[in-house]
Amino acid sequence: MFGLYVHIPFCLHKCHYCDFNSHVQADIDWPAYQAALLTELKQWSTQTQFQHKQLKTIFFGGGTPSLAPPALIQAVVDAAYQHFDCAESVEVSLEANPGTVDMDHFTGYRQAGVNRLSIGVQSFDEQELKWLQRIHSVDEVHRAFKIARDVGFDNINLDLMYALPKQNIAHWLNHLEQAIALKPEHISAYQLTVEPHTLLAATHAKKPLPIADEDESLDFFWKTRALLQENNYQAYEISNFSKPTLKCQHNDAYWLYRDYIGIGAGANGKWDQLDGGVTRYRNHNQPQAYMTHIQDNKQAISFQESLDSNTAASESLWLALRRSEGVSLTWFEQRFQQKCHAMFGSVFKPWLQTGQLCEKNNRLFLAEHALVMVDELASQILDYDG
Amino acid sequence: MTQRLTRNFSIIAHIDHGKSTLADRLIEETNALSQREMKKQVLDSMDLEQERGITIKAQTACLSYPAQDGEVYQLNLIDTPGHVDFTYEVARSLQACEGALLIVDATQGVEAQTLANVYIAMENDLEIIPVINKIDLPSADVEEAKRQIEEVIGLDASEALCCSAKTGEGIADILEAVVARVPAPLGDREKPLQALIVDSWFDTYVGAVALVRVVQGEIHKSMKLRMMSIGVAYDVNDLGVFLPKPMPRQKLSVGDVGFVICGVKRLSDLKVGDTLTSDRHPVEEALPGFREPKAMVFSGMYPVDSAEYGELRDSLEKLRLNDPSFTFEPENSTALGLGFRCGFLGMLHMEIIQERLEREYQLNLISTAPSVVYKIHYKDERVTEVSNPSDFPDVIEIAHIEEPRVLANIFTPNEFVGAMMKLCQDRRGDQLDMKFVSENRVMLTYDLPLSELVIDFYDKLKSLSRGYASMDYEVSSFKESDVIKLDILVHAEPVDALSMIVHRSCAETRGRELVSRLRKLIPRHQFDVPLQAAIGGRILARETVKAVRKNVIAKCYGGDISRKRKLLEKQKKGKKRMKSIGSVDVPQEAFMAVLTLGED
Repeated sequence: MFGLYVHIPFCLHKCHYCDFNSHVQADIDWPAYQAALLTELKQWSTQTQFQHKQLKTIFFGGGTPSLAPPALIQAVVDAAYQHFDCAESVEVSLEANPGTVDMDHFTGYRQAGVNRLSIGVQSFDEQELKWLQRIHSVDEVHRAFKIARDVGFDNINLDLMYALPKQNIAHWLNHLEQAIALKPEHISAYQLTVEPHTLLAATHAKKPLPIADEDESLDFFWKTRALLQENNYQAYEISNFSKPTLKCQHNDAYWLYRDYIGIGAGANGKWDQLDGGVTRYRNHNQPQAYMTHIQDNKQAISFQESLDSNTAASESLWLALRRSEGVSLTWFEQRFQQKCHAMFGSVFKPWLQTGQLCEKNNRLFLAEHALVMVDELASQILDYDG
Repeated sequence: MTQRLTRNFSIIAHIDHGKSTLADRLIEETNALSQREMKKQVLDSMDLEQERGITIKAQTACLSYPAQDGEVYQLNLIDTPGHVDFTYEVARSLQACEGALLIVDATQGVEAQTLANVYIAMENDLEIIPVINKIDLPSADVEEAKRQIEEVIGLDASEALCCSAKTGEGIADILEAVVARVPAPLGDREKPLQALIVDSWFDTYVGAVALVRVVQGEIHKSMKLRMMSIGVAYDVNDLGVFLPKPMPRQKLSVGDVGFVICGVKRLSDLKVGDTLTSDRHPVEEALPGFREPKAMVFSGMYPVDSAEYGELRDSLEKLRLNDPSFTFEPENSTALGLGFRCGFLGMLHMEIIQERLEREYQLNLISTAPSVVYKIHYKDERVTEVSNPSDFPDVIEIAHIEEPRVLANIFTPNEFVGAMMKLCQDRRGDQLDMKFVSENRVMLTYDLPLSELVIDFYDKLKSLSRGYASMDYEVSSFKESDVIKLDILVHAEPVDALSMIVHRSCAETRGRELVSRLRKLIPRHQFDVPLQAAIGGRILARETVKAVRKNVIAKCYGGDISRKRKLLEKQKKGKKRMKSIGSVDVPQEAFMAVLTLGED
């Protein structure tokens, strides 16, 4: 089982907090980018590591995938079906910016096979949208959601951000309720993170922004979670909530340590090696550099790393423990040919003793209250070499 | 070369007043070195000295100078170390001379150090020739410099020379003045040998080398020399003079300054200030002024990586070969593991050794707060000297404690007098004198505890005066003092490497400052880490490093994994470089926190 990630690296405007690979270009040569994606997809299909495996999910991420002509989406989905053995139902997600949608595009995506839409709402407050430098308005959010429903999307995610500078928690929860009122199938709620090498980070370095301290951000975190759970959204990962059975399978596969191909500028991929380790790669970020490599019939990889089996084992735990369900110890043992406790027992011990880490039905997971410490545990696991 | 045509002289100057540049010019003028070989500031041979502009070990140059009177003179320029920690070495260098050039910067005037060294020269009855340097600078004020020489030092400046070591102006006059005004060395060549060890150092190929001044008699090759302080004798293997390149000679006669190599393996056998005499015809009395080097400032040095302990020991041994004035002995700290307690002549000496260990031997070190020697008088009338806070006895056993005091002269522009006085007061100083050196400069004389000087006093003095104040000090006496041991507890465990001896009156302030600083330096753990400052069992101050309650990345998808994994690995690596005290990771900086006080 594996996933396919397709990166659409173009935006109409680069928001100051964004650290994704996105580029603002006056003229986007869509046919050329499409051709490159198709060529790259074909390259990967000839690689043995993805043969004899089923393609389960496709995810169009960005940048702003909703800028892409539906024909491009159609061509990529068709090519994926043509080159790979596909599961009976393939989850095909696409990220949409509320400021860039119209009926034709959404209809086109739907017809191309997209069956899950992720709308980048971020906020229900005009002021906040402005601060975030988003190009859309609150009206456009409602309009985009309505169009999506109208053209038949029955699996929609809303992306939201909280703990913005000076944001009042009640104010945020009110906005979250507005999101819930739309009855989306899925909500991703992220705490604002000042990522390095962003404009926001530079601003913050010059003059620290009034962002939430630890206590406040914990308050945001728990209240967000509680409100969503009350409304029957399952918290299945740190920042992801869904109606039962409607998790984002593509994203969940990252945390379940499954393989994925990434195509497009700046896309990442990962596959398991025969020795138990994994290989990770990243494509060239610049669309032009990416396309030139592909046109020359070369791979567009700019960075690749191989992790040995032990590192892969720690990495898989770090990712899986972000999930509320944690990790299956049976899976772990089969995957890494070693018992999880045999490898990391001494790291787990204090966490188990304090009840932060739990084991039940052959699964290892963090207690609800300890989820916010997952990276602390992860750094101990990643560091451990005993 | 006859005694009549020999002149031995030194240069006395404050740091940066141009001593080394002037030495360069004198050597150049007498063509001892060709231009090509002329490195800037040839006398400062160690890298470190060139960078800091400080001469650490005295070196010398024997210059052949055809004077205007038609005779060729042998001018022995004896370099002196230029820092307060090396007063003893300066004194021995000056003892080897009949004259000294007193350099005063025409833009700066007389400074504290100049004064201290001039007094040493006066005590040795040297002919002092005032030289006003840097006259090429637009801000030069020759008349004011002369006035200060007369008023502050009390020397006749009417015949002061003017020069610019940078441009070379006035250099020829200086050489003529040395010939004309510095007396030829006295002493009888026929009498039994008496030679002063001015300096000594270790050479990898020939062993220990002594720079000597022959006071009477002669040193020949193949003679047997006796070091009077230890009574041991060695055969002379080689001798000669520095031009400044070493030049072998058959003998060193009365008045000469040169080197002697005699197969001494341990540099500690060639003590600066010791007297060499003939083993066969020894003199009765040694030359005056000799004393054993005495460490006044102490600090623990620990390798950050305990695997480097052996290397640290080897490096200390190697350094000691060249500098017997510092001492070290193994020390075991519960917090820092195995290391060494090192003793230094003073603060600069300590910094130099630490820097050389890190630079030349590539060691990563943690140094504990410097401390001084205390004389502990017990109730049972025993007296011991303790320099390590860990060795402090129980309060109940102590009758009283004496601490070393210094006599410090501080020169400062008027506008900073208030700040200087406050600094000295804060550091428990007693003002002894205050003198106007010029219209806008003041000399303050204070009696201060040495322990207050070793913790960033000099840095403070410089920063409070924007670099304009200068200081010189000399350890003067031991005085009774109400000092106590301040303990620092991290997570309820006393950390020996953080404890220090302080005066009771400052204990609370220091304790509070220290824990508040530690709170910012010790990373957060998964539990609260209390930090306490205590005397005996009494807690003076407390802070808490709050537990981490949230450590989670909001977003982690396929494209984030490599980068975020590296971030997590880095977090952990940072902790690995720290020292574990119980279950608490303490970074190196925490141990340095005690070195700078009162900044926030």
